[in-house]
Amino acid sequence: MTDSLNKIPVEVALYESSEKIYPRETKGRFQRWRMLCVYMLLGLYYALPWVQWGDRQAILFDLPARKFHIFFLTFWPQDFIFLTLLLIMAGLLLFFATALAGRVWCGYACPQTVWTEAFIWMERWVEGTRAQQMKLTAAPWSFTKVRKRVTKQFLWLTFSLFTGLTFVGYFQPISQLFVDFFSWELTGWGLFWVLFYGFATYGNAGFMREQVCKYMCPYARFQSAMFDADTLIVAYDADRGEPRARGSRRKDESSENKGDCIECGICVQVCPTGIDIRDGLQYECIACAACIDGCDEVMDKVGLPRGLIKYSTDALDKGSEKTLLQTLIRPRVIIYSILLSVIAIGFVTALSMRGNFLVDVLRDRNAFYRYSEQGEIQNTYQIRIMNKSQTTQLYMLDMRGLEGATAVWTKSSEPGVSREVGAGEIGEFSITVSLPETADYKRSQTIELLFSETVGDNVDTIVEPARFWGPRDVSR
Amino acid sequence: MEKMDHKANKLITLGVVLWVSFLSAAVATMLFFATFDPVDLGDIATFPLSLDRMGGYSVGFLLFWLLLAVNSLAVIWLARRPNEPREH
Ligand code: SF4
Ligand code: SF4
Repeated sequence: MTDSLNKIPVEVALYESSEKIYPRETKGRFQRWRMLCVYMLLGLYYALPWVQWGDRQAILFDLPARKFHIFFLTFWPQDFIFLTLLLIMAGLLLFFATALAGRVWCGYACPQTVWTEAFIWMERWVEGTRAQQMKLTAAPWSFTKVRKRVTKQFLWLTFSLFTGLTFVGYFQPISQLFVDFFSWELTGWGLFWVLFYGFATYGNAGFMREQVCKYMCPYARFQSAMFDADTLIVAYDADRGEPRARGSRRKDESSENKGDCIECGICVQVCPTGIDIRDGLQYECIACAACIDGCDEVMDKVGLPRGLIKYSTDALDKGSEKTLLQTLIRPRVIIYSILLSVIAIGFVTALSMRGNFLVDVLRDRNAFYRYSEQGEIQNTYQIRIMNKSQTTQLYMLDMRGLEGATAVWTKSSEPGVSREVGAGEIGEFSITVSLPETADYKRSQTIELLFSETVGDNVDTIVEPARFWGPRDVSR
Repeated sequence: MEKMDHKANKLITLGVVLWVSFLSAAVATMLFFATFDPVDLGDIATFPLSLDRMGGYSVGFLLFWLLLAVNSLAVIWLARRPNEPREH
């Protein structure tokens, strides 16, 4: 490290004795992209729970009702496999992106980056530039310092609370949540999770920042396994930059020995993780490209070509002649894309073939069988029908597998009657299977209960096995 | 990182433990409650337990988290062999 960089004031924080990093603001093409991503992701996060779909919230992980709504799809606990597949796909996508473009995820999309960025904006807005912030920290407590610190904390806390509220709004209807919250009527677990998530945001984005990446993030540790010589990284061109020269040495026309790096330290000042990219690729680097923009600006000013720090690959640095296409298409990338497509196709197929309803059959636990007034042998079953579709449905009942037996919804005399279940609801019914005493039966046999949809063009039938008990084995 | 003192190191360890067990607890909670409905669990508990769903999920998650965090801490504590030079 160079001496000039060690003069950063130390703010000893509770969690760590390392120095607080005051990243310097940069403007430049990559930072514009980053800002765009951050704005978009923040916007999505805060806006999505307010989107309506029909008469419900479009995205609602309705935990109390054990149903997940995502636009026109509704997932039930029985659809757990879909959630698993989604998570696997998300993981593979991350691998894929990493193999292609290095840590783009970290620099542009990770919530840690996004919220930290938002917190840094608020900090800059109240306390000013990097230099002003550092001066403020070093300054003795005064009215201005207190005012600025209080304002910053107020902004941070409000924003965190709002983030927490929005988070819980993904799990319970958000408009009601806001009403409850602002009328002080939110209690219990809802309130707990609002505060919990708000506090986590505050801690992670306000204080821990780059330390989350350094010490806590699993991705930061294993991303090296997904890197190879063709992975895009942020790199300093040492051949061009070294030896570094500044001040009088640079002005000294006679000196041959000067590289393009003018040792201004900007690349280190802008780095949100506080590293010096000129020391080579380090696992702390989140590939945010702030140092590229910072350095380009400096190069423009001193009239040297841009790109002393740039997106590059290890192979390119070593003088590889590969074209972009050759760099993109390599076994690792192909394997990830094949895996990803296979799972994605499987996911969509399974989703489209997913039935519209589910049936649970439970035997009545109180008695194996009983006799009706007409002397028939009767078994009763508890039925739960989950209508997973978006429309109300009528279900018909039938049975097979036992000669002479009939199945009816309990308390309805004629067969052929159907039962109604609303869209996305669970209906609980009871059915009775009756067999004349005169028929053949065993003490226990398997029968099949048939449940059929009756509304719509694409009606499905579900066959559920059940056990039917009689008094003894009878064959005549 | 080189100059990090012992106390900070411990806090980071604690942070890592809490965070990793948080993630594992989230997975465990998802698997567990995708399989069991807290309301049913309340009904068949051996001692009186009335759980609504949000309460069930929350308590379940916090218990998983506590359990996993305690477990990780114990592992870290015991995994450091007694004859290894101690850091403090
Ligand atoms: S290192 Fe981890 S926490 Fe940090 S930005 Fe990357 S993925 Fe996010
Ligand atoms: S070294 Fe550059 S790209 Fe890496 S984190 Fe620091 S500023 Fe961002």
